[in-house]
Amino acid sequence: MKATNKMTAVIAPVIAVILIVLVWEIAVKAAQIPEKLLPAPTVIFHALVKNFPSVISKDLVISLKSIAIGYAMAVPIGFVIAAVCSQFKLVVRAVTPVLIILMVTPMTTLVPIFKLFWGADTFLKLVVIVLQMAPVVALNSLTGFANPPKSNVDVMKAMGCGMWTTFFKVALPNALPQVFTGLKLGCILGTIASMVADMAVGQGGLGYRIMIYASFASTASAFATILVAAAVGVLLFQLVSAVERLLTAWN
Amino acid sequence: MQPIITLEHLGKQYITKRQTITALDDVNMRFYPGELVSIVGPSGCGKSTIIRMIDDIIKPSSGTITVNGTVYDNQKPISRDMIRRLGFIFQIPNLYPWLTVRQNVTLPLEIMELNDSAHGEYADQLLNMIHLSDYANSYPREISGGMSQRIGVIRGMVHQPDILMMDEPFGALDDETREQLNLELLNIWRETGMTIIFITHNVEEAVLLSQRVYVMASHPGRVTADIKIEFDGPRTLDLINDPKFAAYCNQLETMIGKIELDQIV
Ligand SMILES: Nc1ncnc2c1ncn2[C@@H]1O[C@H](COP(=O)(O)OP(=O)(O)OP(=O)(O)O)[C@@H](O)[C@H]1O
Ligand SMILES: [Mg+2]
Repeated sequence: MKATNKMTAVIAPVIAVILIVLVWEIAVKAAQIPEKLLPAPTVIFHALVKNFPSVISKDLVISLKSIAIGYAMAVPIGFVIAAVCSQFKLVVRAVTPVLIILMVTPMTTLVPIFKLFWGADTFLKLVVIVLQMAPVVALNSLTGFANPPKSNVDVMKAMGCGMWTTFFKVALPNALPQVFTGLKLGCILGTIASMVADMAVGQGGLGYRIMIYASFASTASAFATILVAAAVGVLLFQLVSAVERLLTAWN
Repeated sequence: MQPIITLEHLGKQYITKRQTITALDDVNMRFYPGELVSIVGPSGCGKSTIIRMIDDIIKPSSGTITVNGTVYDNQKPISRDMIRRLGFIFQIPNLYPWLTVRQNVTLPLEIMELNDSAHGEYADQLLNMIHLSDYANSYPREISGGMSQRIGVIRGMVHQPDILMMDEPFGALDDETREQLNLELLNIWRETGMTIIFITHNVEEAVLLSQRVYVMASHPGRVTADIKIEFDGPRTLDLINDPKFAAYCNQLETMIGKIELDQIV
């Protein structure tokens, strides 16, 4: 029973994707839609095979680098902000709405302003990615840290534990599910932010490559690059989910 | 002999959004070294509140607590070294869902940096005593409520405290397990010479275990009697057939019953 469930869980979405691709292919061919407007999946696949090794792969590396460095900076920043703020009830109240505002603000809109001071370089992309990721990591972690189960906190009090021991032994493990929600949202928002930053800043990256292909009306190659960008998002998300499953095995 | 714990004019008010509850009013108690004392009384009379204050989980509103000659009150907290000489067993197990059974039990050792093998062996010995050695690596969600309760009990004493406070530790267990653990507790108490404060609803349990019983009444929570329990023979289950046992039980039962009747009238 369980095995069949697992099989269907894998097979069902695969069939769905195959169906969509098939319909797309047939529809494009049947309606004779110009390739420049909407290329058929087979055409996109050809473009991918042709352009990936020499061009798209280089942009992929640039994007992965900026997302990874951004993540490596944003996660500790968001985490520490949440950990410190969570220790003071009043601060939690004050900081939460600020974090929400920061989270929903598209940070890429700051690029034109930042450009005035720093010029267009990769550092600017990092700033945008970190600004976009850190608030969502901080907000979700903070929500988790703010209300540790009272009964478990009492056990710590009975052992004479201070605020930070209690944090690491109760609040943190208890909040892991929320922390990981933040980390997963962070990698999605960070991926999007990096693509848009590529477009606004230049200097390579998948977003930049999509823009270039589009401006030369190489629609199939643009779609091929979008495919790679989507794969990046999915893979990062899966990676974080795998770490989550590893750390919350007790659940 | 000097008492190891003295409570003087202890009062506690809980201030909630809707009302102020006087949980305790002018409670005076003394506990002598090596004594096993029970506190009985109707639900809500403030039994848990008393030991939570002794263990510095909550602060008293008035009065003082003296443990081992050190006074603390709502201004002055207990020292960390002192609190580690105390053990506390909660009314509900309060296990950590992300730790295995054994990790839950040894958490106090980890926190108090008692990482030597002797303490680890003691933890295993206690696990064996409650028949849960086979579950050492299970997670709390995989075990029953009664099992969790027993784990909570041994976690409170794994660091070998001088004073052990037990808040209805066997309340959720079946009679057989309860009897067995009562006897184990008496063994541990004799071997270690701990001072034990034992809270229970069950008067038979109180009479079987204790040298003294404090009876409490509620609204506001206060002490109404301090009864010495004395038997000629050793504390075993045979005592149940001793006429004195029944007499003590009756005495306590009527005191608690009368208190409850008074409140209804
Ligand atoms: N955190 C709290 N906030 C408000 N009131 C409380 C709180 N804790 C306890 N009380 C009140 O204080 C009184 C004493 O509670 P306590 O838990 O000490 O009783 P108890 O004798 O242990 O009862 P039981 O036998 O049911 O465990 C009760 O009337 C209860 O409503
Ligand atoms: Mg209670």
